[in-house]
Amino acid sequence: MMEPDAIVFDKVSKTYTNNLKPAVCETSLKVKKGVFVTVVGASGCGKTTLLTMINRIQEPSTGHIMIQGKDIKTMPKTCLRRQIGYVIQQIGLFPHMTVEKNIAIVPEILGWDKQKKDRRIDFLLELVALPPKEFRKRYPRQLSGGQQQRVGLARAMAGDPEIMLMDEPFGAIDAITRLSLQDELLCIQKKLHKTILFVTHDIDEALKLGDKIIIMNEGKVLQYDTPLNMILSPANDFVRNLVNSEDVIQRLSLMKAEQAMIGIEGKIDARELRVSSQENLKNVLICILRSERDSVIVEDDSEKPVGRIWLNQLKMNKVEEMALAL
Amino acid sequence: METIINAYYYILENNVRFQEAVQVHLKLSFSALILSLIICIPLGMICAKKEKLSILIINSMNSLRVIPSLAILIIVLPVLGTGFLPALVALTILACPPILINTYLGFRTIDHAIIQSAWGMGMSERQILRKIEVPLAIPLIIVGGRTAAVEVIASATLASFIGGGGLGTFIVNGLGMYNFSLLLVGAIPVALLAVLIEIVFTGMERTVTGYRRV
Repeated sequence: MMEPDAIVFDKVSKTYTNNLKPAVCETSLKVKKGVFVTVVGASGCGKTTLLTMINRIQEPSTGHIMIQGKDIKTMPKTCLRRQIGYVIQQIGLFPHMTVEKNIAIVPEILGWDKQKKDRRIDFLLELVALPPKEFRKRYPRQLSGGQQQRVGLARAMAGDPEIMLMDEPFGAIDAITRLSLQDELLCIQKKLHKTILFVTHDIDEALKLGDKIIIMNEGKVLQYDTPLNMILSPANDFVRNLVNSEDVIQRLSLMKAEQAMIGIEGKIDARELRVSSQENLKNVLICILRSERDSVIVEDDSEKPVGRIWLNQLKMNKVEEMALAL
Repeated sequence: METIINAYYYILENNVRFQEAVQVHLKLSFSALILSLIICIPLGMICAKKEKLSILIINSMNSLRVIPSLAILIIVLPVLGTGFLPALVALTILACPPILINTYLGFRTIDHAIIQSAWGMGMSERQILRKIEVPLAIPLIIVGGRTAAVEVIASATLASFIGGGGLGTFIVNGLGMYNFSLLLVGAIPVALLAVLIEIVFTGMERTVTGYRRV
């Protein structure tokens, strides 16, 4: 039997009481297990409503939502929410509890023993790059905004949920910290393969983080696609403008070195620069522009050379060809 | 100075009477305080959850505050007569507003993001109340209790006007007989008690808010 999709929206809509226009128009979509989906749109476009219907902070007016093949209405709310990690912009750490107690809340509800809880707290704090020895006993007000959101993330993952809902988690965090948090989130996702729904109003953040992107406007889902497809074939002008699809550099940044490389012909010069096969083509281009030669060597995770990229291959028409072939 | 020394001798000579008065005073004050805590903490919690009800209750409590303590004592006189009970009722009414309003504020001022993330974690209403809301509201409730306690201990002196006994008896008699030593026999212990109770409550508040000073 095929594994059921992690999240399924089946003709879901939401109209708030006293409102004529629906906050979310009838929407059907599926999110596969382990996929990182970003939801992007202006404020008031219904993206947060879409998210909070999944953990039943909002109830849909029509339609059904299924997680892992089960209708969420058949589960008690508390039970449902313990299977879903939830991170919000305002973080909402409990100020009267230490970091470790904040993280231990869900494990305690789930009735884990002390050893298991302790191991989980250490594991999670390591994961979000806060050394447990230093941070376990601190109170939230002794942490910076970025550190608080790291704890918020750790707390949301405490019960090892399959699904994570993140509502503009980095929205209130300064730009520099935000970039490093984004990188770390990607790194965490590589290790844990959660199904993530991540709401943001920042299209760059959405393109950088998402395996797939949902673009919303006025309660409607305009397009649900991979970042690259979004740029190559935007569904309408709104999407085209939002993703800035004419931007060549933007396109390059959405493709990986392994997708553009060709076989290595001839000898490898020891002076040739090397890039990882996972590096995006924008950085590959920068690398070539800086080097004395017209090509770079692509290497895999074990630093074995696997291909080469010539400057020529990064030309606009070539990239377009490549993308369409994918 | 002489009046104070005379007051001291008076206490030594009338030790039994004095101790009895202190006991009645404390019994009266603490019963009123505990009664009002029992009534007002749950009421304040309900108010914090039900917006419409809160307007009604908070406003009527605030208007109760306007009535002077002595007036309350006199108002209950025709209904409940004289003695311990009417004094207790009057003091309880007096202690209610600060406790109720601070309980209400204690719960209302909790950041909504905190409650929302508690929901998101799958905590039940009871767990949220026990682990999050009550611990966060308790400092303000203690502050309300402190105000009420000091007010009650001071106002319990007035109970002697309606035959409630307590340290106020010495003050009333002292005033009536133009005997300042006798007045001080009542006044000084009352002042000391009020300061003492203030210190106790402040200590309690500091203990529960340790996390704010780390």
